[in-house]
Amino acid sequence: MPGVTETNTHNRAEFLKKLMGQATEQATQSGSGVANLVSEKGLSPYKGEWGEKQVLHLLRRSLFSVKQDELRYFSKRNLHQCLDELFAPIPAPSPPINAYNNGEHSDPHVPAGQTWVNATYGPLPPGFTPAMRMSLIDSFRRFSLKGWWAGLMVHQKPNITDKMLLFWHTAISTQMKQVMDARYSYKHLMLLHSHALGNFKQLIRQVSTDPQMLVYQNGNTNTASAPNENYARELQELFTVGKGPGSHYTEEDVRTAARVLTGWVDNFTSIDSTNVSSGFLPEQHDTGDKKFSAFYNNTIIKGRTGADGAKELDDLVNMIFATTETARALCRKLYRYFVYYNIDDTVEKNVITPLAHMLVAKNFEVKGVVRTLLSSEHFFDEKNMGCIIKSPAELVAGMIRQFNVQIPGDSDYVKQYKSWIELANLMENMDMNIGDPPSVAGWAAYYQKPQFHEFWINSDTLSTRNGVTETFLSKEGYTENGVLLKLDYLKFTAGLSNPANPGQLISDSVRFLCPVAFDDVQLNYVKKQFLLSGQSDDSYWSEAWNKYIANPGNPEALSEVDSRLQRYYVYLLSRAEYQLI
Amino acid sequence: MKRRTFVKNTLPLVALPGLVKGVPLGALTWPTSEGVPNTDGKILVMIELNGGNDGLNTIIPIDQYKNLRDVRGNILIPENRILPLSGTNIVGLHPSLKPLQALYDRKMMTVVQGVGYPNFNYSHFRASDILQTSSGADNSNVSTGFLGRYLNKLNPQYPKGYPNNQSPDPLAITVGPVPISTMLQGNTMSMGLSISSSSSFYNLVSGVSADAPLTNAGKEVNFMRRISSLTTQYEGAIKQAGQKQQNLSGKYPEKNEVAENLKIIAQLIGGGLQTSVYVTTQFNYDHHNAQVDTADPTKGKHAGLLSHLAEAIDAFLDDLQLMGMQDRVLCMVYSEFGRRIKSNASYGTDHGSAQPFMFFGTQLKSGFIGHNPVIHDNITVADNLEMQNDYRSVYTTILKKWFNASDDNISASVLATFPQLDLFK
Repeated sequence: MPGVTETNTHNRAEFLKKLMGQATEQATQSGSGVANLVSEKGLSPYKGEWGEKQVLHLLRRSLFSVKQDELRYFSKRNLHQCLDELFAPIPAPSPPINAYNNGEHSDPHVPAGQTWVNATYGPLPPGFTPAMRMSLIDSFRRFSLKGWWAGLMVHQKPNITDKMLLFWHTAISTQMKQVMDARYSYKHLMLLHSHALGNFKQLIRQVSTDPQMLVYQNGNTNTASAPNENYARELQELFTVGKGPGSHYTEEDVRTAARVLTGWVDNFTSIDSTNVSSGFLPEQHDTGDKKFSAFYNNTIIKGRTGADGAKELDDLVNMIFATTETARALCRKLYRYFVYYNIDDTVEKNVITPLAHMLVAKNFEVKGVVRTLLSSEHFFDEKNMGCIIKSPAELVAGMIRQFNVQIPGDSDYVKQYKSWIELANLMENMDMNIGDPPSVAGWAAYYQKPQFHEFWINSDTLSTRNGVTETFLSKEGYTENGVLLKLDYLKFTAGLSNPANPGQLISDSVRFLCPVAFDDVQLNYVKKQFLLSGQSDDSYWSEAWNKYIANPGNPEALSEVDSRLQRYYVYLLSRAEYQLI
Repeated sequence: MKRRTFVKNTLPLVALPGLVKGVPLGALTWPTSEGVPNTDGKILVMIELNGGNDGLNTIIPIDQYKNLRDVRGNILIPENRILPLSGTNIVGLHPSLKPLQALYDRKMMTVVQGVGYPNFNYSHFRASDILQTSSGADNSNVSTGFLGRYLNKLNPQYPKGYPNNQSPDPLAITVGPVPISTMLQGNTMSMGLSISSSSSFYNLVSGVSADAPLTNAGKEVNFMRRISSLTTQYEGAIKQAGQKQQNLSGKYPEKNEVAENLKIIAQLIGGGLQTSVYVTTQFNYDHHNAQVDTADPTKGKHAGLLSHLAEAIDAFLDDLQLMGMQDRVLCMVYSEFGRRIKSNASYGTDHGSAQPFMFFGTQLKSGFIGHNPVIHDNITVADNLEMQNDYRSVYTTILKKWFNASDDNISASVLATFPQLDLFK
């Protein structure tokens, strides 16, 4: 019929009427009970189709989003080869440096460009109280550390280590701001980093005497005469056996474990110290026998005296790791971090239980367990694709990686750190202050039923997310504190398979950036509205694009494609689908 | 309430740009517009004819008919079918514009002839950018829109602190599909909101009330879309205005998208929103072929669009009149360009240059500004209509006379100085 647009205007009218509150509410069909959303598949190795969809799924979950060249690289490899790369050992990063000296304040003991991780805080510069010095200098160092961490995410190699580092931070959470010594926090982070794909049991043993944890959970004030149960409680409740249905440790177990842990202190005797460490003070240790509940098989940890008292900690860790709950609790956390938050009986039976058995059988080596999970039929089940809401770190670092944002290099380390710190700040604006989760329990997104990941999204954080992507896509880019960061969407677009074809440009970029497919109606709509400015003829876009490619310096040719792509990507990155991995 | 129901009944506004720092949208509250109705503020409603409207077959220069027949005989409206206008025998309307004929005779319509600019550009993209940014043909470096700059100048802090008691309502609203018109692009973000959204556009384009797929991923998509709707700070004000005012005119046609959009705009105006700019779009004017039916040039794609447009405008003005809002609203109809003088063999026309802008409202002087386009002898496929009025003169006139804008603001918005037109009473 001539002149009538494709839109079904009648339904549109009805729809808008409803929106305006004029129409009576119609009963709608509920989807509940129609389909089973939970994969029934287990841990058998995935042998199905190996295409772009599966590669993207694996990379999205293992990395902070995916770069175009990473997709190309991994697409040429089979699943086994991909996993070999993702799980390969990588060297430790070089430590964070003093990039924060400015005219007004400077770190008196760290030359610009040098690392501060072992540097003293004293003596006092004139006019400074110790408190001022700590808060001022340490805040510089903490920002340096957080920026450095954001830098690790953004500049990560295609390797799962950095994703595991964040995992451990969510699973064994501490707060830098409570500890107020960035050297402790750095040491703690490096402990997590070195165990990223290491041994869970050893990590817990190390963390228990880690200076940052001793300060944060008051282990350093836990003495025979004045026990402090703080760490003993969180060790069991949060870090190991957890609160799952099979966990039945008692309050008495908390008190008893605290007695085992007496005597461990950090060496923080002076802010002048240059070597952050911890040690055991036998005179503060409770030397009595420690008897645990039936949950721990009525284990008795024999009291030891002198330096031998330190060995009780090993007994405690052995006891905790002898329960099946410790392995189960960790496997549930890994599942929620890498697969989806919903663990029902089926998932518990088909995935968590066998995975926990494997973890125990491998004596708590994590690498093989994560690899098994990420190469399983269960992981590659379509039901588990695209259903994790990106954490702020995944959104921010991911956006930088996807669009290959140029960040100043080591030679301009001041701007480099400023850029990284801005990225960490943006994560904080979205409610994820890396290094400072809300509590020792970490972020609710990883443990709080029933919403889990949905905790990342509220009206504040969602508009912040969209505001950030819009600003990074704007002509001016993101400018703050002398930093300029822009998403190079033109280059990104040029990296797609056939950007002169508007339909392919849209479908390629949507597929790459969003794990939930757009259907043809949606794809055509977006193509027409954004790339064709409402027209129907593809050649309008093709000509504009080819004109731009032939002469990228021509401002008019540039402006035609630039303005359309800019608005398209602002739109796409504000879709709910973009928030998912 | 079931989530699905809830989503369907939430106003689909998501195009409100979020903010970066310091302005958590959730912390803002919107005061109701109750008690502070904007009773005298002027309102501009812009209708974009997207694709390039054939001005010569819309506002037909009867005195050029002979030469027109030579170069576009296959699409030309038969002379006896052209709708005459009172007080003139040299210009008439396309037969599909019957309702506009009546509006013209009631002195509610003005046509500005030959609107264009020097060094005309024939690309849809570039031409619409030039028009919307008010930057002229030779400056491709402007990405803000002329109304965006105008509104930004009046509201330099936007969106920080918005909405507030002085400005409880959206500054501008686009009704229709995303993206929000470049016209409304301010210095850092769009000054407009869009009624149309991710959660609704499925429903809009397909007529199916489809949610995201019934998967875990779909569940999270729906969850975020719901939050997204709730996030829009102006939702309450808009909902309230929509509920307060029913459409009063019985003239709105069925199955007419531009009418549906204008219907919503009328409702929001009548409901007391202080919003001063509305933009909507009628698509599909790019008729390189089959612009007219081969058997009858008064029928075809172009005729269909024009009749939709005319019926919609007629109903809209009628509605405003019944609401008592007619004196506050100026309606402007424009396209990115006109079409070529010479038609092609496929009964269509290619991209052209100057075009007539149409205005509707009670405050117009009514009639014609400028003369009929002149169709010379021996027109070739390369020939185009001459420009008579720079589009920036139109913008200047609207800002100065309709919005009473300061000269400062006008030069910041229009980006240059242009003479005013004798548009208003």
